[in-house]
Amino acid sequence: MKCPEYRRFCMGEIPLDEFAAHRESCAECREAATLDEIIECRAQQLPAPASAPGLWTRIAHRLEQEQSAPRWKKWLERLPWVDVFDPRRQMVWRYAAALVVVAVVGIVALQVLRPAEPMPRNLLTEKALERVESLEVEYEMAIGELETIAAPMIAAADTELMLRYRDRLETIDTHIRRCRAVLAEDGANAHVRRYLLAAYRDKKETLTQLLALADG
Amino acid sequence: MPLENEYALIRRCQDGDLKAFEALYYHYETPMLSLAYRMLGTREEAEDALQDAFLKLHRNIGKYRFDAAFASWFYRIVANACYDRLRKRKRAGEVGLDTVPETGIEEHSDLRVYIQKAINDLPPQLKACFVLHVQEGFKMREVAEMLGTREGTVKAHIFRAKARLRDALAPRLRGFICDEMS
Ligand SMILES: [Zn+2]
Repeated sequence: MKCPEYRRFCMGEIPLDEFAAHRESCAECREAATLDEIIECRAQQLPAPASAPGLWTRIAHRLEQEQSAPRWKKWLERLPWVDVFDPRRQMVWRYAAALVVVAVVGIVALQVLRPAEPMPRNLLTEKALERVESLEVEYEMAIGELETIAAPMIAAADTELMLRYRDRLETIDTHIRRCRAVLAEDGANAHVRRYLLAAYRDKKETLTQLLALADG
Repeated sequence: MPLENEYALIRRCQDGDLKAFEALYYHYETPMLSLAYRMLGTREEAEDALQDAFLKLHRNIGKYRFDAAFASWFYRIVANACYDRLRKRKRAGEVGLDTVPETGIEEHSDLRVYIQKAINDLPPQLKACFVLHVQEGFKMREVAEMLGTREGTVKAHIFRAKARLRDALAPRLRGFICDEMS
């Protein structure tokens, strides 16, 4: 293309209304934009298969194989070049050395050049955020009460079942801490809010089960 | 469609529950297969890439920390599994596929075939960006996240992809232009 305006528009350098005005008077840009619209529309309508019969069976079979393999074998299989000691694979070492250099330079360059970008997320509206926060406070209060009663039982856990409950509560606490850490930076991250609520619900249920166990 | 109680399901997967992983598989089968098929152009290769991606997901689901949307995290794994295959294909010197989409051939199907063929012929980077943004509807920023690159690079790749598609398809599309403009 000779005219640079369509490229500038696609690169986000000029706004839509400016390009729309230009498009009216420039046949080249008009044709390019119209062709792109048709191609995009047609590309979106291209069919794709909706299911893959038999694929889950294949995957489940592989997973069973992996799980029954000895631990050292699992680790070896995950390495990209198991036969690196084969003299025919000398190139692998050269690649590896080159990769290390590239990785180090790349990481340094990324740290220096790349501004910190937050993950894409759904923004919660302020009202929804208030509702979610008040729900979280309710959970925190309920959990606090249950925890006070359950604390001596958790501390004195000795049976296998009690130890399992303790492990589970520790895992949930880790999730809660991670979610809170993310939300401290980015309070409107809808996904993480949802995970935090689910973790609270999980913790409340686990504590309730634990106390029911003690009563029974 | 969001997964009902996704948190609990992922937690069960992290505990090694295969039934939970199966439920996760069936929830994501269709969108991930569509993505893989669009990136790779054949059902066989799409299924192989999907298998790789699900095995990788199973190995790594313990590392998922609930600090970002699970779907985005998994899309990244699938996109990368496909992207790796595209790059390997390119390294092996394989030219674009001559295969025709396997689904029904109807009216205008010849145009559909040409568009599919032109997309298949794009170089891996351009194709990955085009498929993820234009066909799968991800924002450019999300595509950049998935492919581990910058948003500006994605924009440039998409522009170049469109330019190539235009060049390849313009002679066949001129008739449509007249319709669109009349
Ligand atoms: Zn112009």
